[in-house]
Amino acid sequence: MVTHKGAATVLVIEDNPITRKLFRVTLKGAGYTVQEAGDGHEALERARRSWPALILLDLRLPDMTGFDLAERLREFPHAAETPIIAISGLVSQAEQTAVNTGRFHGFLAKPVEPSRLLEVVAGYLQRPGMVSDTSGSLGRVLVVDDEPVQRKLTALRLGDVGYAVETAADGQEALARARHEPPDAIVSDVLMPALDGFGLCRQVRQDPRLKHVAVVLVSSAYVEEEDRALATRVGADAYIVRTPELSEVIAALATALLSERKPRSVVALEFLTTTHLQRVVRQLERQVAVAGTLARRNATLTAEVAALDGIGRVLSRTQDPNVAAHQVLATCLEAGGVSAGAMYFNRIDEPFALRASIGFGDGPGGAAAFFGYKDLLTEVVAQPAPVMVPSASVPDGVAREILDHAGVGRLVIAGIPVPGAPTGALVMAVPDAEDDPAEWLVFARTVGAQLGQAIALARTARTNELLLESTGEGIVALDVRGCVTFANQAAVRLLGRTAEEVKGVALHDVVHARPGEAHCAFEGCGLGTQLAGRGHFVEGSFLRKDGSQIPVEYDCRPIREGDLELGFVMSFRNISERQQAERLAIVEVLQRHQLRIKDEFLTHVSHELRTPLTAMREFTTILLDGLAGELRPEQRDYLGIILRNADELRSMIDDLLEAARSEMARLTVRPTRVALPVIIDEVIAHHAATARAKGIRLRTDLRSDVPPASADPIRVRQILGNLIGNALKFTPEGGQITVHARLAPEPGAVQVSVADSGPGVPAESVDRLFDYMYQGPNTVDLPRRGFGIGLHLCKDLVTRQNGRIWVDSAPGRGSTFCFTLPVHSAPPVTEAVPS
Amino acid sequence: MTAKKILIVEDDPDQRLAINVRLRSKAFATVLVGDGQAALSAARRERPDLILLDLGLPAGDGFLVLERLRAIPQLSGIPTIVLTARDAASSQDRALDLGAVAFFQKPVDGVALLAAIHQVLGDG
Repeated sequence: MVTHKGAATVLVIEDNPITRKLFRVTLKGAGYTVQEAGDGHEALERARRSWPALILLDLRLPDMTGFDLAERLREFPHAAETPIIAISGLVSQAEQTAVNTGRFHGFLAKPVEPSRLLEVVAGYLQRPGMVSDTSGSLGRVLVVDDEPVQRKLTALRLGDVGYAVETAADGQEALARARHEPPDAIVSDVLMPALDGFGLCRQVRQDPRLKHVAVVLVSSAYVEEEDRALATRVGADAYIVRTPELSEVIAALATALLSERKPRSVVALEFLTTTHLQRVVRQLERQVAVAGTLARRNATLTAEVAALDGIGRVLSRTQDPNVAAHQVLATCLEAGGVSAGAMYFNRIDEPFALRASIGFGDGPGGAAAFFGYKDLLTEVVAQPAPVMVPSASVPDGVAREILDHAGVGRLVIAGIPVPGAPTGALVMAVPDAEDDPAEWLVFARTVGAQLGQAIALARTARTNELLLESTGEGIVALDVRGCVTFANQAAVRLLGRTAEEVKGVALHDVVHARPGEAHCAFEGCGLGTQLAGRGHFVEGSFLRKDGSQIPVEYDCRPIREGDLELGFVMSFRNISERQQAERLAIVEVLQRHQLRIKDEFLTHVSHELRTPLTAMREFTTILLDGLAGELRPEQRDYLGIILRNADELRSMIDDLLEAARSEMARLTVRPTRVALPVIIDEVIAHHAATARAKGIRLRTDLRSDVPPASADPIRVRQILGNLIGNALKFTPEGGQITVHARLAPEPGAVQVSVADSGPGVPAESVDRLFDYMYQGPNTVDLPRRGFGIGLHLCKDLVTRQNGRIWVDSAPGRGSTFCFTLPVHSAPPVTEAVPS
Repeated sequence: MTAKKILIVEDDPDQRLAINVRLRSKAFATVLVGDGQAALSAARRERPDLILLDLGLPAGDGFLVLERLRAIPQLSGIPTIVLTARDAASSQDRALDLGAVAFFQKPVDGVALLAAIHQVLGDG
């Protein structure tokens, strides 16, 4: 007998190559020697050549059932000592019963976790036979159970705890063993053939040699009050409902062994017998009902959960969609213990294109064309329920042909519903041994639906990922301690660090604590309280890796799932630009407010100054018109002087207000394309009346090649108006004013000049003429002065439009005021050339 | 033929007088008031042939007076010339929309105003 793990050979009989590979890799990794067989005949051949220490046997094989194979393996010598462990995905009722009848030592439900596989295999190989070694120091326990897996599990578990364990398969055997050598305790199943647990307990209590033995009864089903009462009457120390880890059994056993044993009174036999029988029948009925359906549902659910779990794992791990499709299909098939299947998805260019196929042939009429009946997939997917082939839903001839081509006895087809996306279909071969196709329809539908959900989920996950990485908002996930578990690209960029530098560290330490300083760099730091989840945006400042600070706006909210707080999510953005804009906006509002007040003030002043002046002029005119009686010539002259001065005063007030308004409107020089001749003509027309009244000739000299200027037309009008107004003031009656427009001597500029025949400007004044408040030389014969604002304003306006202004003048030769403006450099409009 | 009657609505007494002297010199009958309220009662009472209306008035500005005049059937037909110190073009548009026949920006040239009055009254 092989007892050493290093030399142990395990025979794996499994037709699904994926499962086989999983077992091989797992077992070899643990040091076992592995032999593999894909079907019954190969298994028998291998067993003949070299008998293994343990056999793992898939119940569904292509050439014979697992049960038949087990029977034949049992005929080999040493077979009695060799554990045979059954493996199955979906367990049918027949299989369930067969497994329970003891042809197998153990049972493993698919999918088999590698750790579980090793645990079970090691359990059987290290404790060969049915009896544990005698190292048990806590006492000898006789485990009685007719169900081999339960018996084995209980024996192993109690052995682990430290008992020396013997086993018996039913009450009669147990009683015989106990009488032969009384154990310290008996742990017995209630429902057993020949002699059940209650009966065994009563017999033990009635045997003088055994009546002190502790008895723990174990039931696999729900225990009613009457069962407990009966257990007490037959003298059991405890009555426990079995749980997988047997913790309550172990606790009850310990209590029973430690408590002082006293003989128990035995209740009247006939009463006991009646009650006993009733209870046993009840237990039996219940257990059959529960075990049958539960085991089956459990197996289906296990397979479904395994499929979903596998699908999720594959999709989260695999980037290549084709590889993912194959692995997902493999996972589904493995979970169902199926050896052949295919997966189809609608593509734009091909409905139900084959995406993955395992176990089917490739030839014509193969899986790619769904065995020549691809239209059937469309029909099936349109229906709510999966379809079995053969069944009433498929014409006999069609079904036969499909199954022939597929090389299987039965197929189940289920839709893969993906919301808002092309639909697909899942096809699985159904093992011939299967006695309940309805189970398969449910399984196929569930897996199909889960596949669809998983695909939708994967798409959503990908969309979410793209959203997170595309947004400009920094998004950081924190665990409950405030440590970063995720940071999107924007967050990493805003913090001026790499993703690795941010991950896992406490956010506050990264953004709010200077290196080497224990305390937060920020007074009244809100980040700590934010982590408690106040959930509103606050403004603050974050440190970047280089030590600089960025002004941010951030919001931190708890991530909750139900009542559970998983952590926090913080979103933040750089608000330096916004703050700048806000500052500018405030400045602009203030400026606009100031301007409005100034404007109102000017309007008011203008009204107040002009009103009395108007009255003065009006009444002077009335007097001059003789409306208040005849005037003497002297009176008429004096009134004329009043009128002239009133006019001058009004003109000065107008200048003053205009200057003030221009000053106020400083911000508004908006260059555009300006046709200078048009503006010059307008301004000339405006002053024509005044010029005529003074007998001054006002003319223009405009070159036809003058290009448009880049300037603010309002400002150009203002400059020209000022210069022409000045010229009119200083030019004596009968004089001449000429406005020229031509290309400037410097490139890219146009020049406008206003030449008068006035007295001219002395050399010492020329440079100061454009100064603020300069009032000209103290020359007595000049007709009048101004405020010294107009020319200063012209210079300011010309300069701010990237031009220059100057005067050419000499006393007695008149003055020529010139200014330039840049040429408008818009690309010329291309015109269509007529053919 | 009886003299045409002109209602002068102007809050500044000097300007009111100046206009009055001008109009009287041309043999118009004049009625002088200094605010909007008085303008409406005078218009009702005197039924002038023409109204010279300053827009900036105490007790209801010129626009309000214009609106009221238009709403009273017996007065709605009286031609009204608007005078104003306001320089916004919108004032002019609004006054003309409200039925004013002419608009003068102050300071008003007396001669030009007389010409307009003659034109409106159709006896130039």
